[in-house]
Amino acid sequence: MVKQEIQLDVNGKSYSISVFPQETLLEVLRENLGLIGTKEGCSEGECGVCTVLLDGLPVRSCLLLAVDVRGGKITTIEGLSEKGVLHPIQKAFIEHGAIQCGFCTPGMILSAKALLDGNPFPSEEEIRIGLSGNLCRCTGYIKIFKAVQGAAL
Amino acid sequence: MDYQYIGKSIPKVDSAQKATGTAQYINDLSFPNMLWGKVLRSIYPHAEIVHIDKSKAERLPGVKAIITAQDIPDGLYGPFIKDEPVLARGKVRYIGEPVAAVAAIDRETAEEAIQLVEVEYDELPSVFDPLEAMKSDAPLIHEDLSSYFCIFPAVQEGNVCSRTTFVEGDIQQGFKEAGLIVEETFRTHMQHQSYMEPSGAIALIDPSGKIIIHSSTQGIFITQSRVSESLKIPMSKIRVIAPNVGGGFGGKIETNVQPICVALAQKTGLPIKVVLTREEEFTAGRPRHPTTIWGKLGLKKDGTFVAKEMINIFDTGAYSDDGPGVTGFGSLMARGPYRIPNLKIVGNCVYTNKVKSGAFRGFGNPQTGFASESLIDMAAKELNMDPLDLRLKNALVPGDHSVGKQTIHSVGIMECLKKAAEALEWKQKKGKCRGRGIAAVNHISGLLTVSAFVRINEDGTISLHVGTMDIGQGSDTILTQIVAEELGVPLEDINLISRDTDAAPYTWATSASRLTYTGGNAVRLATIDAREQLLELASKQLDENKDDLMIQNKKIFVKWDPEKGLTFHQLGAISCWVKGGPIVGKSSFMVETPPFDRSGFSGFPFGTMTGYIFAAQAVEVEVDVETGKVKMIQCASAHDVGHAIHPQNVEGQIEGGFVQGLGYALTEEIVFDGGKVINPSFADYKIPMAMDIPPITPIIVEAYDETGPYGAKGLGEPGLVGVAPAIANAIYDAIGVRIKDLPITPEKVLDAIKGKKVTIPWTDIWKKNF
Amino acid sequence: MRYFEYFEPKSVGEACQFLNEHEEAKILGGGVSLVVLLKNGLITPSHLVNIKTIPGLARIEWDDREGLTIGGLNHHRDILLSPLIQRHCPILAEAASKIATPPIRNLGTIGGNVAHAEPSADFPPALIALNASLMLTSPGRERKVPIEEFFTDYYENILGQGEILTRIDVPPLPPRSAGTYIKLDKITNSIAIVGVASVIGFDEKGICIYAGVGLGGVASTPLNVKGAKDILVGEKITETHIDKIAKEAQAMANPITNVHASAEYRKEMVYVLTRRALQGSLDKALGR
Ligand SMILES: Cc1cc2nc3c(=O)[nH]c(=O)nc-3n(C[C@H](O)[C@H](O)[C@H](O)COP(=O)(O)OP(=O)(O)OC[C@H]3O[C@@H](n4cnc5c(N)ncnc54)[C@H](O)[C@@H]3O)c2cc1C
Ligand code: FES
Ligand code: FES
Repeated sequence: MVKQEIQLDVNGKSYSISVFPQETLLEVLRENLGLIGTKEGCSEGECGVCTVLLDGLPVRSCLLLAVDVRGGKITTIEGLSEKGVLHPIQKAFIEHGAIQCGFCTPGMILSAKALLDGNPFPSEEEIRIGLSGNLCRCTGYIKIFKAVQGAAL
Repeated sequence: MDYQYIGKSIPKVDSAQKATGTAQYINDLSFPNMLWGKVLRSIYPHAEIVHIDKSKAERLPGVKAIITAQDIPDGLYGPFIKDEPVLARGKVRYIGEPVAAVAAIDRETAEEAIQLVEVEYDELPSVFDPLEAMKSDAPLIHEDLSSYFCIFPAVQEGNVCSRTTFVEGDIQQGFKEAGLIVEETFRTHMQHQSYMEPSGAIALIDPSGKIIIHSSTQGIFITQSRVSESLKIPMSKIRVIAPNVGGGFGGKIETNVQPICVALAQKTGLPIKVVLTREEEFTAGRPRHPTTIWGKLGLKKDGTFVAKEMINIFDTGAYSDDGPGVTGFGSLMARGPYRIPNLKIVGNCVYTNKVKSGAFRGFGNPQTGFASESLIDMAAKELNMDPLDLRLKNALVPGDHSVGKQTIHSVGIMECLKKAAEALEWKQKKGKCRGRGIAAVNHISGLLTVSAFVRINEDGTISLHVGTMDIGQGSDTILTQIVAEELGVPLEDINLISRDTDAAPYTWATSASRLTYTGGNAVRLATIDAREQLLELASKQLDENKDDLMIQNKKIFVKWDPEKGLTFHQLGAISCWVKGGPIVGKSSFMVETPPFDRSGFSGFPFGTMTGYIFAAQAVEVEVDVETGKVKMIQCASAHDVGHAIHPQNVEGQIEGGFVQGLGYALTEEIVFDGGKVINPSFADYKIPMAMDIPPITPIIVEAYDETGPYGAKGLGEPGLVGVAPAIANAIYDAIGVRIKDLPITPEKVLDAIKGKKVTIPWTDIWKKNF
Repeated sequence: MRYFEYFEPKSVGEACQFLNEHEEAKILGGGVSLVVLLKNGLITPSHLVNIKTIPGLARIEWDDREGLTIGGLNHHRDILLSPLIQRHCPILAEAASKIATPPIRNLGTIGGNVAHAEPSADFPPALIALNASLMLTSPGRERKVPIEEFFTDYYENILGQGEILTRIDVPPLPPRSAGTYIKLDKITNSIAIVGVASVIGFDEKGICIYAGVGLGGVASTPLNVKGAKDILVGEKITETHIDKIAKEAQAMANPITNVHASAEYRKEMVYVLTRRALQGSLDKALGR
């Protein structure tokens, strides 16, 4: 079994790590880099709690092989707040009560960021589509939609 | 009344951590030398274990231990009936039952190892349908049922592990008085909690020999007690700590992998982590009981309810788990929030060779509620009455009684019904193929115990010790608000210490919609106790009458002389170093009053309950008559919560519960082929996603409850309960077909439109005189 | 996941060569379906060949005579957002919008979606209705096959070892044409219980000069309702025509029962949805 040396750019920092080809980005983020804000909920692309941004777009880190990232820029939830100052989307989630158990929250916030970065004033329908890759079992989504609307204003 | 913190939607105390991804959940924890544990599960629904050969697996490099029932104490556990072993002993009773467990250096090795364990089985006849299981010639799933320890006087027979009966009035006479009788059989299905975080635990043994369990749980003390009884370890040697929990909805009240994790830690002496895969969650979790329910409602011609009879069959699977409670409670709630003088409700909790069912938001109420609220609309049709009016005519009012003759003083059901209907413009004209439906819900929020300590630290800040678990529903915030309110201190001054059996006083679990009501009462009383002690101390120190003192801005001073006073800081320091001793307010709260009149009860597994809560869900749907698809147009969910301590939280519970109810009603179902789950993934088990969400209006109704903290009652569960019957009723309103078995799939709707008969078997059980 | 080796080819030739030399090697496209198969142990390749490192396999181009060309490696997202596709074949964007959710659409490729040969996939019915062809490239050889000849069974296709789906070609449609893709799903954008795509084109007089209907989820492969062309072309379309095609589609369907729906239900829905899809295209094309 041969490990491969890969370069990863995560939250603006570059890492050089050796991985087995079968390791997913999710495993590398959590186990090698200790970035536990990215969660594992199903491991087969269905739930979205493992969502990270690859070059600004949401992807399933459980379905993406680490070797396949190939120089792309990764953003995880840890990359959103700067020096303890929360990102406006994080603030909006708190303010609107969009967080219950919090397990879907990191992925949800990243999907919201990708959405708002590409479309600063989304319609409600566009918010639903933008967040459709992230399941939430606690909130019924409504407060999350409101938070994203709030962050957009 | 003017409150400083109560009734305010302050940012939740744990939100910032969760928003930044720093909140830790079970899978985020790790310890030096930690091993990964994995469970080998039965592939037969019912079979004798002839032989287990571990040798091949043991030889795999990286494997540190393999255990079977032979390697661990023979304790049995369960919340009501102690019937479940940690690892199958002698025989397996469902596909997915733990048979052996492996500890290895990593996940991959552990997974490989369990595939190398060879188990020889001798298959036994199995039974999957509870109606079949109740027949006298059905294979017995627990031959030793009568020898199991039960925490209540259970009524048992064959595969029926618990039968609860409620009788009031004279049922025969009641039906004689009825001008109309409606009667029908209903069926509900198995739903999974589908919390986003899979269950898991880490066990380790500290140098003193104490077992430490990090447990993804809704009840640290329940984990402690189940591990104790199953592995025969004294509770004093078990410490349970809970990290953040990624949702529970009832599924994480009882233990899952915790005892196995501990047994592996004992065997290896090393920390063990076990986290379930999503597939294991679906095949070996603790879903909602499927049921078959026969119900009969008698009414006078003017719509007055006079009699109701119901036989509820709850399929609890291979082990009883919370089944007796779910069956008993669901049956207790089956009368609904209505006056019905003559009543007979029988609940049967039946073993089958399927995954065990357990607690899930609603606790039996969604099942019996579906039947009850469907029956009411069937009656309304016969009487040519508006279903809303029929409900209002019979709805409870303050001073009416519960089943078991408790007087209920705080009753907001009428207002819930009216407001939910109003939100949908109930009486307005509807579009083509559109219909509206409503369902009323009753539930409880006062059950069992919570204890709390409120300590004044030497700098005047506050430590609140309470064993409650915030699994996202927001109890940490609410309990903190209560302390802040009673002492007039800012929230930052309060250190909430929970989630650790070594640091928090006993509480029963996060369940039964009870933490605001029961927990809120306990924390409020403990805080008042601490406040009185503070005043006492200040009165002595200042040499002033206690009644002449007041509290403001963390200071106690003489009402007319604010200069004369002591700060909390000073008082804390004095109490710790000079006089009186540290101030500890405490409360142990147990729901004991009002008691039930149990003369008509048999086999009911609970003591008393209180804190009655009410809700109504109303929906408007549109049915595509060619595909059978049901589209949700608009929805409203009104809840009598007594007093909303944190309105935003209340709305969050209403909306979350409603959407979980939508899934229950329309798309979610664990499907079996024989005893095997055939859709154990989110690819095949579909919960609602963002694009499926209809407009939902949450409505807060506040019928003040004298017995609750600040008049508050609970929430949590009722938000889900009425959704399915409201939808079924709306479909009937839209196109005139009645769906009697859940979930309401397009296919069933289409079949009903075509007049195909749904075959819910008529069975002799319905004629049996229990 | 079982161990495998990983290879990054620089050209199509190199990739084909490598695949030819390693019988147990598999092509890695977006990986969305492949990684799930790897995790479940349903496939255990010796190597993965990541064709995303080959330049030029993701491009969307239009030529007035040849029509639309889509690279095998274009992501679902590219197809959803491409102005060329919006202009010339909006039904493809419609199908893309109904595939799962953004994080899947950002990784999955159209080539992978087709090559995976899942009978319920959403692109194939639309591509069938558009009369698309696939370019399959192997060392020193290229063959262009009509899409419906590509699929052979559940998750099976005609690709030989060392062959790569490099391109999808869609011939130009008549100027007055429109398409509709209808997906019946359990929750929004979950796997198609039935998927029906229809494309219709007219001349200035309102006579049908192009028709294509594709079905997904109702047989071991996506289906081409060939009769649509015979029934419609040369005609002014009426309710009767639509009904006839819908019946033909229904007769072709040979679905299975699974947790999402029964075979009977699917078969019935083929009729309902084919009618709706044709009516939808008709309305759009005639500007109704
Ligand atoms: C959660 C989830 C939901 C989904 N929902 C939908 C849906 O609603 N509708 C839908 O249509 N699809 C759905 N899919 C499938 C999705 O569209 C996949 O992207 C697609 O099927 C595979 O594309 P890929 O590029 O990721 O291929 P890969 O996963 O990389 O490969 C799939 C297969 O195709 C082969 N392959 C890939 N590219 C090529 C090529 N260029 N030439 C030859 N062989 C190739 C691979 O070797 C492999 O056998 C879903 C998938 C997931 C995980
Ligand atoms: S873990 Fe569920 S989508 Fe990745
Ligand atoms: S907050 Fe719990 S899953 Fe979304």
